Amino acid sequence: MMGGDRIDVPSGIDPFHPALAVPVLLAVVGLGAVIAVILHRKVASSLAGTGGSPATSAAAPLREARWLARQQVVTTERPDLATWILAPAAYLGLAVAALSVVPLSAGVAVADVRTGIVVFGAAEALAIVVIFLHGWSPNSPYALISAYRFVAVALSYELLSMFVLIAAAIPAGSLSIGAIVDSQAGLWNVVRQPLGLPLWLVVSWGVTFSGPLAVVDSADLAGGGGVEDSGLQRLAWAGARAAMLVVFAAAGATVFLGGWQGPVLPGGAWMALKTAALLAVLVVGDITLARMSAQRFVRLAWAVLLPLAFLDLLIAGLGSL
Amino acid sequence: MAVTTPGFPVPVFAASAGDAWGEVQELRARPEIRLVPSPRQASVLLVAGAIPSDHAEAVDRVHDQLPHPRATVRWRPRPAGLAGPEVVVDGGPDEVVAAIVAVHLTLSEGGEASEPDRNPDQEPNEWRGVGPNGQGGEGMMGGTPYGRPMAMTGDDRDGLALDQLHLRFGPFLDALPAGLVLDVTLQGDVLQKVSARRSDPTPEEGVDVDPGRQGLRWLAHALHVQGLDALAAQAADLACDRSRGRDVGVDLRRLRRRIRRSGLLWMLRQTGVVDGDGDAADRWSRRLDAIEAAVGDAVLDRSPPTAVEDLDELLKGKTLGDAVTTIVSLDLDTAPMVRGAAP
Repeated sequence: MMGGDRIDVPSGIDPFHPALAVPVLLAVVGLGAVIAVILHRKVASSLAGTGGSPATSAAAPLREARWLARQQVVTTERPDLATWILAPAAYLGLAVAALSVVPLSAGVAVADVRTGIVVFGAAEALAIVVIFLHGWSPNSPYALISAYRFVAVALSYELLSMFVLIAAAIPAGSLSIGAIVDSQAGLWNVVRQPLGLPLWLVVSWGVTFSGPLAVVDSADLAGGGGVEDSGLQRLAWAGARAAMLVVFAAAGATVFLGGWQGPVLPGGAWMALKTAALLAVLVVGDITLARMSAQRFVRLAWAVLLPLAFLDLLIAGLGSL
Repeated sequence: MAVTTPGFPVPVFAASAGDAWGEVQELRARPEIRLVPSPRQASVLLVAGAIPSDHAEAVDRVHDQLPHPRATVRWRPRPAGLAGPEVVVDGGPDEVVAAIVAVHLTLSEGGEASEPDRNPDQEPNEWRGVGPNGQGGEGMMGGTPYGRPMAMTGDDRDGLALDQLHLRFGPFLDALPAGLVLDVTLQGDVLQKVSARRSDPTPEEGVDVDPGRQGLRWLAHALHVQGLDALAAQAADLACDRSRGRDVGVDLRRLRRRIRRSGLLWMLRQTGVVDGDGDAADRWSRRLDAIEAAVGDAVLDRSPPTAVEDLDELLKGKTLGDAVTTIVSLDLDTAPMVRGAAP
């Protein structure tokens, strides 16, 4: 994916040096995750009218992280310990792998490979397995039920993701995300394919089980997949999830909002601004939209959203004739 | 001691008796603490109200699920004969929040040893195994080793033979009203058999009777269960305001607009349909109307509440998530807010 795949890299785009790629990506994702969590707390506390307390300050999530790092990690009776420990790491790993094909500025990507959206989609699909394993591992009914519930939802949003990404690839004539950004020089995909971004938001909420698709760690199942998580386990899972949210915001910014393109400011700044804007939309939706039951979403996805995704594909195809 | 704070909301798991459940819901408005849905996520256990003796063991089990370092705060009466290092608060919500924050600070400074387990770390029953593998069932399945019923396959509504899990939900499950206990048989996440009971009826005396405040407490809990915690905090805040005699009519209407915009009532449609009582969305709308009337000091006629025993039939065949959504939307006749609100 990184150094060895130079053949796949379109000319003119230099990947980061492999030795730098992982620390750079982890730093980007880590910083993004911290910003995402702070943004989430700020929006929630201002909506709840509890801003101004030390408990809702910008430093609160970091203080809480320090507390969780010191707390005991409880295990249950006969858990699948290996997968329980590995799930957050794998989830974070998939977020980083997905980000590796997303250009952060013109020519600045770890591996803007020709099959970029395939790699991104593969990371997204594997995330389903990881989220299921996280619920499966603790040997606890609430966690297990929420994991099954998630898989039902996931199979339905995953198809949407494939269709909107392919639609975005049609005008670019390439599966590379860098090429998709280039193809938006005249007109962003958010205008050219107006159904794409709203469907992408649904996918982003799905893969981070938040907003209307918060079926995993939800209060109706006593915390669901996270019901048995304490201490570092809890911190790692929350951090990986925030990272995934940032990666989906970044991907959305490249695929639908023209990525690094924009006047005056450098490309990286445009990319950061657009990612932050999408992140804000995702976070506000997470806080203000009610949870949908899994059955309701599956019905909605197959009866309404999937036909809309077809329509998105049709619009993209006709527009490229 | 100088007044300090941990600088983040202290995660608290509340085990509430019926008489304190409503007041605990009002704590959702407090930024200093956060009521978490699982004891594993908490550092402080809040035991609120007069826990009936048959739930004492459940409190101990919940206690032992908190990760170390942990501590307990009791709100109001310490049961006779109970000893322990716990902090006991006999005041209002301000005092209990202050006590929780102080206890957490002591834990984080390592000033107080973490509370040890209350139950011995051993199986609840002896092995008592029979059968070819010593487990007491048939083949590799069934039986009740260590007193725990093992899964056995059984036919279900879809014609599949899935394992049946026998589980108990409550009496301190965050999503359920206080004291409600459901003994269920699950296949997948579908409830095949339900036996609901409530052994913690709310004592009449000492219970707040203002219907507006009771309704807002219900709303705070129900919004939390539906995943709208920021709105739940607002509802709890309105309940506190109401108790201070402030007019909350305008704020309540704004909250209703936010609830409408959240899509919640659409999400609840066709969920939890009860003959003659509509679906969960209908019940939410009626209860919101009733709360709005109550904070304007008017009283709306209300349909008769649902008996806890009726849950057995109502919940059968529902998924666990839908069952919780249904219970939350129902006017259960032993729920504290109903007792207060009934004319």
